[in-house]
Amino acid sequence: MATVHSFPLTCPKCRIPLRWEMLNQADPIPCPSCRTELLALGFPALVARVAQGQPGEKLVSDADASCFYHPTKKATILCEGCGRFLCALCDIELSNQHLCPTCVETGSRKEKLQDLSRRRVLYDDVALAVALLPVLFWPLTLITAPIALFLAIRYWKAKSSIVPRTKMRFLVAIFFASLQVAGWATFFFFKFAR
Amino acid sequence: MAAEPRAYTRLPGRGVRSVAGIRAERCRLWLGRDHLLYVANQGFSEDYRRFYFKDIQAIVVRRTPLWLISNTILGSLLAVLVTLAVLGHVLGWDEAGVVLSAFFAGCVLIPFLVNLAAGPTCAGYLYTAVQTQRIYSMNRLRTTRKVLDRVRPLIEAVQGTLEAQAVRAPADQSAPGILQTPSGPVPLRGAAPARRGRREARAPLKHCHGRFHEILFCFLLLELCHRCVLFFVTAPPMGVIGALIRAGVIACTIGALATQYNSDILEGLRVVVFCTLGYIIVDNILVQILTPFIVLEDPRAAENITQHGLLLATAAPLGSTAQLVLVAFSIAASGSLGFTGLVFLSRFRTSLSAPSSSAAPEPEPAPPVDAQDPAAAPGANLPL
Repeated sequence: MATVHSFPLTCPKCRIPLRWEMLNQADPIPCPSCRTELLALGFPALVARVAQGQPGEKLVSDADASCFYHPTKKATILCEGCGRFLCALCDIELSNQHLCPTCVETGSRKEKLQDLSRRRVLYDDVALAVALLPVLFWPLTLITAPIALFLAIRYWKAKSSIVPRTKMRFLVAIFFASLQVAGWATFFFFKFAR
Repeated sequence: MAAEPRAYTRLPGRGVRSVAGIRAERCRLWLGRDHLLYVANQGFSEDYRRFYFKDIQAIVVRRTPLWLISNTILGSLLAVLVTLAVLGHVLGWDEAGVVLSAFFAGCVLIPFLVNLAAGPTCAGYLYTAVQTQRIYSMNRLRTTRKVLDRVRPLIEAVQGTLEAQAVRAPADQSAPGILQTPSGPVPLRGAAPARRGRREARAPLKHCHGRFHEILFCFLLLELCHRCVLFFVTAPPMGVIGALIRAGVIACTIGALATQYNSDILEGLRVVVFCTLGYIIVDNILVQILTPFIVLEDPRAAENITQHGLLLATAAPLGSTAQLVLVAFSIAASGSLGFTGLVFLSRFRTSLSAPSSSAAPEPEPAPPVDAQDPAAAPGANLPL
């Protein structure tokens, strides 16, 4: 019985392991099980072993600086966020910066580290929707127009999407909300002031 | 400690992830300095997933038959509607019907042209050590090729190129539960199923010959012939024949759905069977909606209903606009589904009869690739 070689890359449809011969081929190749045509690009990470974390070197003399979090471990680097001494175990490399776990946690919580941001609320879309959608049921604009204006002004400088995005939605929301407010003001002026 | 704002470049392609047929997320892929950013926009918020170049293990693109199927269906529908409009204009039918046909033809033409121009469809998957992520923006082969052409050199600049010899050694140890045989991989008894991320390997697929599918497509073509004959012959026996053919279509659809479940059948065939199910449902709904109009416009049909309990096959297609719509829809749908299904079936059987690569003796190892020359790698210029 001839043997063929496979590796833990599976067909996305039938989950049967693919063969390494299918990798980086010029033409799509049918999956041996479900016959779906597949084009697979493989990279060395596919076969590389996951690097183990370093435990940190033990402190051997009093002259050596110790880690802030592990007093028995030798400090190897400074945290670029708070300046604390860190051992190899506590050193977290993120965006070409060496940070301690506390700084990473704080940066994640306060969204100072963009690389840790997993979700962003798009206030410009919210403001635009609040400004435009209620037009379908126009009496609501009496309430929603000021809300849209508030949202646009309040969150003008708030962190929006991490991908490039203009302020155009905010501007459009402010424009339409201002129109609605002006319309209502005119209406009330002619209704009650005269 | 605040990181500097990172510039992202938008990669080609945009996709939509639907949940239960409802558009849930707009997805795009962005290129960062050292990673790919997958952005899923839910309307008022965005979710981000980062795939660092050093972590990406593989990108797999699976061709899907959606483009071919939708083009066949839209093209058939367009042909029927245009034919009806032209015939109606030439033969002097009701002007409203002609205008309506032309309008619907225009409505079908736009998505048909858009789909045609966008090119074949595919599904892209990105593999890392801990997850397999479907990239919904990689849904057309042309744009996917552009994405791969831009991303591949960047990943290889970080990781190098994958050499064939490097794959072999850990590969055989990494899937201990799989026995590789010439006829394909077989899970060993008692061995844990091969895992990939959070998703388990499924049981081996059963083999499907596609006999039910073959009969179903023949029935669909019979239905096409029957509907065409209706233009010339309208008699009660035609109604009985039509009902028998429809019963056959329904029975074979059920049989095909049952046999294709968890089988190795071509995905295109699977989709055609589901489309046939949709056609049966839509056709029945249309009959229920349009029956009153047919009866109003063609009194002979009402007479046939009371006398024979038959409507569709005994009312002349040209007798009323509603009946014409029904028959035209039936011709377009049954014809396109029947022909598409038979084409896929013949392709499936050809692939079955062709010598499989799995039956080949032990393949020669691919020659090592020069890590300094990405262009020399096999598949460097992927002709997708």
